[in-house]
Amino acid sequence: MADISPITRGRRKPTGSGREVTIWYLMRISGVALFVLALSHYIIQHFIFDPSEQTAEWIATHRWNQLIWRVTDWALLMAVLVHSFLGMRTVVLDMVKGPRARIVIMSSLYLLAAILFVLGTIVVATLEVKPGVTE
Amino acid sequence: MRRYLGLMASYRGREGTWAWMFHRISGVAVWAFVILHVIDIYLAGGDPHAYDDLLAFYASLPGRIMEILLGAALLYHALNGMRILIIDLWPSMTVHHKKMWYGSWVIFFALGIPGALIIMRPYWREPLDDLLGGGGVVHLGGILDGLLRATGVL
Repeated sequence: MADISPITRGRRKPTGSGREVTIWYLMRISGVALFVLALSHYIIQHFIFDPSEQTAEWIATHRWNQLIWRVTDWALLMAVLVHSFLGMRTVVLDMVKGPRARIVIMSSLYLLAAILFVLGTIVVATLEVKPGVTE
Repeated sequence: MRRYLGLMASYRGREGTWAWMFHRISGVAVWAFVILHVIDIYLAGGDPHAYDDLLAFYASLPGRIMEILLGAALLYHALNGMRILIIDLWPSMTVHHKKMWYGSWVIFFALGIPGALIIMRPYWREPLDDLLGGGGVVHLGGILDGLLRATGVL
């Protein structure tokens, strides 16, 4: 936990121009994107609509009946995968000190991220639009 | 790892440490939900019946309580993330970090309590309408209607 100053702020910006700086910036950029995308997603799904009406049929006929919503939700998927898995990387590097354990855990995490990327991309790209409502 | 968790449990920190600890816990919680959520939405295409079964749980009382907890984790993480970003961009704001931490809690509850009520609406809207309208005394919708008419909106 040496590179955190928990008293006042988040992770200090690493010096230099290496991978750590890139990750530091990626966390902040994806964080701002998620502030808009994730919070608006929550508002849409829980306040404007209600979970009780969001059947698979409803997704095909209403929620994902326009390209713009699929693109928006795919952007949300990308931002959340980058932010959450790089965030977990920070947690793992803080908690796990053994080099071999780190490799095993980080490989599993990146594999999981890749699987979620594939599953999410497949469903958002291929779920068939059902006619019925084309508002 | 055990030492790390022990440290987390035993450390009596001040505002900044609590902010950091909540940020980490809420972040891991949202990460765990994201895994579930990508899989469930994949099922909407792959196995719609399984998806609808899971949706029935999301719409149930325990499901809604978990959604409120998810929303709380998301909102705290978002607000504290903005606090971190403000300090990163304007280091002179560091002297106000405690004020921003308390401010983020004010926003958290101001948005969170109405939000939780909206999520719980199936459990209070109809009973409330029955209670108020059933006796023929007042009806919430009627009051709103009357107000709108009186002010000329309707």
